Amino acid sequence: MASRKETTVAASTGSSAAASKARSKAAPGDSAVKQVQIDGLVVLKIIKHYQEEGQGNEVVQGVLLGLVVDDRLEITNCFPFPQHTEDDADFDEVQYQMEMMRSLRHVNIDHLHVGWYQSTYYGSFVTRALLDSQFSYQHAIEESVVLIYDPIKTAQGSLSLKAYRLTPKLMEVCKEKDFSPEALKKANVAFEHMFEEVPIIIKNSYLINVMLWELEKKSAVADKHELLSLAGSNHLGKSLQLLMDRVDEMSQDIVKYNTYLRNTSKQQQQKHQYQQRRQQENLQRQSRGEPPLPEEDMSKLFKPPQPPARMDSLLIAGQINTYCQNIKEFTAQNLGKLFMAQALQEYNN
Amino acid sequence: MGPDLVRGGGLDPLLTRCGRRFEELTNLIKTIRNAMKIRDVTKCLEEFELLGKAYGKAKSIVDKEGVPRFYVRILADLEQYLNELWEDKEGKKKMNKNNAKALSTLRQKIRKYNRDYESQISSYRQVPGGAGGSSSSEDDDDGEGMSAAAFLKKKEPSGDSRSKFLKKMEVRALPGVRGGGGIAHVWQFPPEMWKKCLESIDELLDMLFANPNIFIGENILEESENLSNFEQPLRVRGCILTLVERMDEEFTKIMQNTDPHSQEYVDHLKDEGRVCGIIGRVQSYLQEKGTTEEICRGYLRRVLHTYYKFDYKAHQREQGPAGDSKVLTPPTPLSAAVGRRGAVGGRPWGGAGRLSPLSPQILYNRTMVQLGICAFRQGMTKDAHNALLDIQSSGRAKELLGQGLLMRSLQERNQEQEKIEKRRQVPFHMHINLELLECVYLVSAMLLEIPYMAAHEFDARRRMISKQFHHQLRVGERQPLLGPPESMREHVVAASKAMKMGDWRTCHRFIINEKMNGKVWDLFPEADKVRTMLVRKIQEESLRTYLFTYSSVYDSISMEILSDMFQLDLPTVHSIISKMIINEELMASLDQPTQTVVMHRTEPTALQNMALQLAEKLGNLVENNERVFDHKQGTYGGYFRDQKDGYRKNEGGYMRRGGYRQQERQANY
Repeated sequence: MASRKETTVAASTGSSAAASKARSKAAPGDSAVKQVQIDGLVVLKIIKHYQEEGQGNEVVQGVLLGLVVDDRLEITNCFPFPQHTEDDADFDEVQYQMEMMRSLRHVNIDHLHVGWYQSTYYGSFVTRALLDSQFSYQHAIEESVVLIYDPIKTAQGSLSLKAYRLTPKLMEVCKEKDFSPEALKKANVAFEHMFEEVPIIIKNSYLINVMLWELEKKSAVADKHELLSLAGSNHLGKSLQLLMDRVDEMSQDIVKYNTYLRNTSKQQQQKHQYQQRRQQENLQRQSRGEPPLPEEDMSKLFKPPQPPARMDSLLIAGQINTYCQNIKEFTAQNLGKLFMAQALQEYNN
Repeated sequence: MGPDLVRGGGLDPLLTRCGRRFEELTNLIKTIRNAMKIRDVTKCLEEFELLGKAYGKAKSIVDKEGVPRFYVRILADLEQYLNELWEDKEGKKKMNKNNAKALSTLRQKIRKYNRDYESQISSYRQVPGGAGGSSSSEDDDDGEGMSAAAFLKKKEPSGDSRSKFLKKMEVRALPGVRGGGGIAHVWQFPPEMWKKCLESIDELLDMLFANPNIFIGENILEESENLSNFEQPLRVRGCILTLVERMDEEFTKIMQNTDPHSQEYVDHLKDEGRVCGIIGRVQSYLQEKGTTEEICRGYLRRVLHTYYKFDYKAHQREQGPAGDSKVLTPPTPLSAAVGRRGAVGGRPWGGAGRLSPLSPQILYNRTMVQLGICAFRQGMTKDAHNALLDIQSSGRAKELLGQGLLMRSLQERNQEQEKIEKRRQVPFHMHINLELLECVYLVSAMLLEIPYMAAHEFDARRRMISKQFHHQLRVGERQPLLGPPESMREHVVAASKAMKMGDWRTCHRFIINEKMNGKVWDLFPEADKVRTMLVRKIQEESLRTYLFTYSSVYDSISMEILSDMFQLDLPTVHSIISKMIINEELMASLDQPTQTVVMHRTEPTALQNMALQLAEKLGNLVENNERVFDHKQGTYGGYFRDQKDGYRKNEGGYMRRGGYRQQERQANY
């Protein structure tokens, strides 16, 4: 799915070039967007999309359309990407996007690309694919964001919609495409500095607000049962499982790194020994009057082992962080609920 | 030698020498045959000359008796062999100069020499059984067979004592008696010889039993032989045991070389009873007179014959005192005796290896397997499983038991190797049914593993009791379509799945049905006893599995209901549950008045188990992380750390020691 993004971004660069020109130049090292303002329509559309097509582990994706005003990113509309089915193997995403945007332009809706959205399963969205997609988006359109919609958390009572961007530091590293440990150290990128969250405001037009007030008066407010649900062990169990998997991966990664270090030092030793031996031999030869042996290219003899790429471990660390945050929130809420329930019980008895 | 024995009238001093001369000749002939095999003609030539000389020395004896058959044989064979080599022009060119020269010399000599024995050679060549590479000792056996016949026919006028002597002579004349043995035979007895051999041995044993003042043993030297003085106990040099062992080996060879599916095989099998009888008698004789080593060898022979089968009649006979299957009780003392001597493969086993063509390793494996099957029959599943574990976990059960040939098709196998391998195989009637073996193993593994798995479902550190069993289970799970089980393995896998649920009836149905009966259970002696034992075991283990799996759901269970569910009587249920509680496998209490099991609900829930697992994994993560630090920080980073972890300490001192190592290496230059 991510690969689609890269192709489409190139196509839409032209259309958004106009948008970026209108914007003021942001200070270097600073993120271009300080706030995201989302229309209610977009939120509803995202939720609907997930409900229709996204049951299970599948992630649903779509394109965000809007405008940049000062340091605010306004998202006014969106349209979903249809699921990739086998029959339309020749489904041309770029074509589809272009069509959509053209149609929208005809209807006088904002048709400028500003980002993309994705649903997530229990918070597992920090993947290589997402990183690549977002990088290509942000490279083309500097103000892009990715909206992460967590349907399961939403089902538990509160809307969970977050906007993420890649930090400028990470952008630099990705541009170089050099993920070796040295480069990352130089750039001083830790997993906390990978993504930055941008605060979201949900805004509606005045007309819509008026309608909502009228509706409120007419219909009874639905009771929000889900917020008070005490059943959470399933959710917790699944989160724990995912967390454990990541921890395992992390362990393996560290072991790999360890072996790499050991191999390098061993090789250093060998190199050193070889050099010593060579010197000795040369001395002997000199004493016997023979010509010294030529100095051989050390790098050919001792190929240094490949340093493992560190990007994956960064991603895993980021993911673990996300999981931990989620679990923290969830358990805090649940503890509160359990105490409340206990108090109620005691009160009733 | 035959006619000589009959000549009565006192002791012929030549008789003692006769044996010795012939021994010399046989040794030389052996060397010659070896040299023939390796195509070393120069050696052949040397030995032939020595043979000629030795023969000359024995000439006086030969004059009286006539040319011994084995001698004629070697002459004929040698000539034939040389002729073959001569015709083989290609081979001649390849031979080195010495060999070629020796070949021509030897050929000439043989031609000249054999002209003297023309008649004997031609008569030998006409006898059909005379062809083939046979060792010299074989000739003597042959000769002895004939002499036995001759002896039996002739009447002995001099009375009993003489007959004893002569019989002893006959015994001495056997090369096996001379402490030989272990010579590889390739050719075996023709059947008439075999029968006569059996009879003569029987008679010899009769004599030995009847006359307790005869001592016969290997340790009696020729000088101390006492053959004439009747007052003192008669001592004869020789060994009755080796004789019997040789005969046993002959029997094995006959069985190996006969087609297992022919009628001939069955006929030969009937002789086995006689062989066993003889061995038994020898053993009882030895128990009074022989040394410990000989007793052990006798035991070994008996064990070799009895360990693999179940004798119904003997079973009924011994049902009274032992109350146990014959196969179990005799092997236990016998095996203990043998085991004492040969436990770790020291010299005594070497002796056993010498005695039987099967390697000690194969024998050991076979005994283990038999013990395992016996244990299973008695219901001791844990022992059965342990006994069979090693054999089953390697995929080569067939070879380990000596019942199949190693498929070494990649390497070249010449005839010699094949022959050796074949000789090491166990004859067909002693084969253990491999499918039965595997079934016994899988069923005992199932009875052990399923409750264990249920008890340790959430443990991160689960130990697999038997890898083969798990492998089978996994293979079964991978099947896309699960039909009704066909093969024995599928039956056991399906039964395991049923038992996991605690459903003992389905499990029972899978284990004991027509198919399985035909393949496995009917092959057991006392099949019904085995089946009842199995059903009982299945019930008990299903009960335990059920309790392990569902104890977290129950608050309390009534024991009556359990006993009804699993068709076990109440005291049994009570005892099983008590054992589980005492072993801390089940957290519960037994309430006597209501006959219920009250669960304590102290086990962690699934979520808690997961949290524990997570904690363990995090521990691992932290450890790995710190190792990276140690590596980087080197000298002091790890040195002052916790001294408990040796690895860490090593890692800490790594850089330093690395430096030392370099210095050492420099010094070595």
